[in-house]
Amino acid sequence: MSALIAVENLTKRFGSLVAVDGVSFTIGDGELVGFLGPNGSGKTTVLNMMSGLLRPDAGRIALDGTDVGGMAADSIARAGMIRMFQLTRVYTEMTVIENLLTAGFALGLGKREATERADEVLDDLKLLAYREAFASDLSGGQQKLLEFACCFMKAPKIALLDEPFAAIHPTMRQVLADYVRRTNAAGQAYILVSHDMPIVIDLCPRVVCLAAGSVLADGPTDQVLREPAVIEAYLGPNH
Amino acid sequence: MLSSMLVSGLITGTFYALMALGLTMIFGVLRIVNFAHGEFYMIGGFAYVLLYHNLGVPIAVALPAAVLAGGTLGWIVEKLLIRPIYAEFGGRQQGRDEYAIIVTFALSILLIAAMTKIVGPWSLQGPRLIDGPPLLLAGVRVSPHQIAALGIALAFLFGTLYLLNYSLWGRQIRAVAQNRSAAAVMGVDVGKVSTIVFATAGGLAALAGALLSNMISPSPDVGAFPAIKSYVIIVLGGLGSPLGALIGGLLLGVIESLGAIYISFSYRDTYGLALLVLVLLLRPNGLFGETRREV
Repeated sequence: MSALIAVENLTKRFGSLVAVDGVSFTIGDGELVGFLGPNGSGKTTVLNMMSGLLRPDAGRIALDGTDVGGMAADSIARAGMIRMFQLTRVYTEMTVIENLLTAGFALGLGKREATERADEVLDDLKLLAYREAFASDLSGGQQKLLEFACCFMKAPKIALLDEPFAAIHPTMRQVLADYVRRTNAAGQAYILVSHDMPIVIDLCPRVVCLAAGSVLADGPTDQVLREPAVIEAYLGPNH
Repeated sequence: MLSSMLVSGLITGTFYALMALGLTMIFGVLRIVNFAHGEFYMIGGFAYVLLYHNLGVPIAVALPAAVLAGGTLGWIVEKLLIRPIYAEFGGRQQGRDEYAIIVTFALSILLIAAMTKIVGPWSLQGPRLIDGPPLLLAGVRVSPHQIAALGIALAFLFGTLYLLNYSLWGRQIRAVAQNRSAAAVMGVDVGKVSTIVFATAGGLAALAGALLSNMISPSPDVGAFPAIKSYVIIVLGGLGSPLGALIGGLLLGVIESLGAIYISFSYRDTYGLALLVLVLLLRPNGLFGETRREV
């Protein structure tokens, strides 16, 4: 499996706090990798650097062999690394279809192509009935699905999903999990940040566990979750 | 009397709205107030007048050229002076508001001084778009020039609003205005959107300057008055709201017009400010301002 993503010695400091400290990992084409770690372990900061929202203080991020570490967020998205936020960020003053068309146009689709693709993704994610509704009128879970749908207006090389399953209805959660599973089987690569262990165990064959800004473990999910250091990082030293 | 005052106020308000639309678009996308906005109006007025009077350029060419001058200036200003505020990395995250205030104030002073040096401190009256005897519009005597200017202003106002709402590029602008970082990670070229918005705002203000140059002769400091009106309008209508700029502009024009007749002409400029205070007391975010913003 060739390396789609190669992160080497990634480091980020905020004043005296070292939020990410020499993180390295690779992700192959079509891999679905879980990103684990307690709160404050640096998961979102790594994603922010990968998606171009933060500049790394040191280290390298390569997408398909190209260093994207200093690139602007929009260029990284158009290069094929797309990001979904932990706190939903849809355009609430636009309709569902407008949200999708905006993403499609930004990613280089024409109007007709974007409209067709939008309907396809909405159908896949059971949102077609809300096509003309304002995003502000959707429930929190539906907004999350909409943001997720925007990421797939043009199939990315890799999707970085930050807590996509948090605070959504079990039915929608199933829709989302099925989509991830189905597209991953077809070759779509993912990084999935989640505290939801059953989902991670179900979807991710491999996990990378961060603690205090460093990689604590990287390997097959069942193996990593049994490691004492990982259990201690999650549950504390006296567990 | 009332209907004629309403018509008169709506005509004035249309030009106010034309100025304010660009200012509110800049605020919506860049979250800064452009204190040099009045100088784009001045540049448009002078470009129109000088092209016509000094170079003999026909009106049909001088007017679009004035819009182009304002748009080009906006494009240059955004690229050179505004871009550092929101550059992806190393951008001025701290003190960005102060930077924007100082830079746009300095630009305003520079443009006024430069124009004073080039053309002198005098006013130059612009040519009429159309000559002819005045017409009676709902009891108001309006010149053919005013009607033509009003028509062009309305076409640009509604054209811009239509493009903002229904074109693919308009949606990109609205996306950046609603959530800049979300738009960026979704592939929207936020830098290009910001340049387009600044250039459009410059062009609209320049158009207002050119259209009004026959009624309010451009001088280097002519932009101060319409700029102040624009600041009132965008707060009244809701910061960042294009529809708010349109409604706010029309409302301000009507209120000033009615107040001038029924209360006192001397205090004409204070009626809009009184309305602003009233609206802010009842709706602190303005008439069409957002009540929340996604993080």
